[in-house]
Amino acid sequence: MYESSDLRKGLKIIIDGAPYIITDFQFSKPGKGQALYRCKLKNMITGYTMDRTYRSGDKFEPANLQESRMQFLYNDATGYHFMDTSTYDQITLTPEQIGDAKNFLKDNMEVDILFFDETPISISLPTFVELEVVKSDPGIKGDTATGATKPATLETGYTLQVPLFIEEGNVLKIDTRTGEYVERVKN
Amino acid sequence: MKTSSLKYILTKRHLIIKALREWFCQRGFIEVQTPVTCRDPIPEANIDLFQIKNRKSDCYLLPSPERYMKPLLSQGIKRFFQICPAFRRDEKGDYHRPEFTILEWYRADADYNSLIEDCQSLIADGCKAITGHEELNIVRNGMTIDLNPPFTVITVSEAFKKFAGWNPLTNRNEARFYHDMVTKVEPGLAGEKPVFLKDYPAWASSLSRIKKDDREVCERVEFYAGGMEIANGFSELLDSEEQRKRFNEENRKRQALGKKPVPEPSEFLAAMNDSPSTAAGMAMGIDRLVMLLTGSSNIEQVNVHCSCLE
Repeated sequence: MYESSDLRKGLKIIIDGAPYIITDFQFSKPGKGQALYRCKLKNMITGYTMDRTYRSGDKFEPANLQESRMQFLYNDATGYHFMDTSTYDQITLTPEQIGDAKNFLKDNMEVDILFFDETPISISLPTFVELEVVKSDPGIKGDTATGATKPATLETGYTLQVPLFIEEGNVLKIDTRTGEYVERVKN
Repeated sequence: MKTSSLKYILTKRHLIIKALREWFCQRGFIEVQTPVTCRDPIPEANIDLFQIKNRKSDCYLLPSPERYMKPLLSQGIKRFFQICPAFRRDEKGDYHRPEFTILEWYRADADYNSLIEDCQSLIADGCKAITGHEELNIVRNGMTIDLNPPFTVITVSEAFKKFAGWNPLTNRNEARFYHDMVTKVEPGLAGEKPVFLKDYPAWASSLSRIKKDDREVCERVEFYAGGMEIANGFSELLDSEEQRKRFNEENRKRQALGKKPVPEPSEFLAAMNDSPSTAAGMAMGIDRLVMLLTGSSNIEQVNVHCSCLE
């Protein structure tokens, strides 16, 4: 169990059965008075945020969150399917839980899945992924303006802006935090 | 010099402390240095102590120099002060560090009204020391704070009625009192002009004298500037029997909160019998004063950092 004095930004605790992360934290203590611990909390499953104020003596159950390395298998009408490569356990995440990560997921890619107790709740991708361009019109000849870009569609269906020299069949390195092109890794 | 650099801050801190020291010396105060450890600290419900394991018996790091300073009144010393470290466990935030610096001073034959005068004059001198001129306006978090005395004086009862909509003197609810103090009253006091908040409920300060004409109120005053609590003082309770009762009450509160009671400070109580009939004492947070005068937003910025006690 955690005590009030353990509370700090980033700590994960259980409130009403759900895992919350403390996103903002303020310690207050009026002279000779009782300490107050003012927290902004975010529900790690629903994203719901709330303010709570705690006192000395309050106790908190740590949220049992674990990350497992898993392989993406495929997606279908029932969701996105992943497998633990050592135990062969399979789990399914909903499109809402996957969010923008769908733009960068390709078969057999290894990702980290966050579990609350036994329930998978979110996915974290590698910072960089390599994906093939399936569609991109040739750049307009004579257009030499520096920094000029054109749209390209990747094997996942995601479309982004790339430099003019990129062609279909090229493999690109993409930053999953921003969704932006980094460099060409293979012609 | 960059205003956030340690060199800049320590230079300003030095100038402020030098000005405070001069203020006391010019007025006939003597500077004392009392121990920071003690076996029988003052019992206080809401202050957690660091305990030191020693060969013979355990002792505590003092959360304030009061334990050794107040008994000096019984030695016939009329005016004295100290600038020293103080230690409070589990206090860590923008305005709190487990080890911090206190300025504490006592005056015999005076009550809390003289502390208000002292405090105004000290703040003005501290401010002049770093601006180098008579200009007493400072900017903090984009807001100008006017340090020209006199400051606003408001009673706890007035402030609660104004900012929290109830009166803690007629309705004793300690948990609600501290909650609303932090969430409603203190933000309400964070204006351009510093504020003295005075006349606390009698139960909110176990070391202050009760008002003669109102037994529900004690003569305690807190000084706020820039939204920060900077100093706390009171007309000293000097009746050892009354003080013993209040210490027992604080130890009962400690136990109710699941904390260990502390031994009764018998020497501290005995000294009261030889003390003058009236005296006043105040403690000022030097780190917060430096924060106020240098526009720093976090207490860690105003001294050399150490995380050992966090």
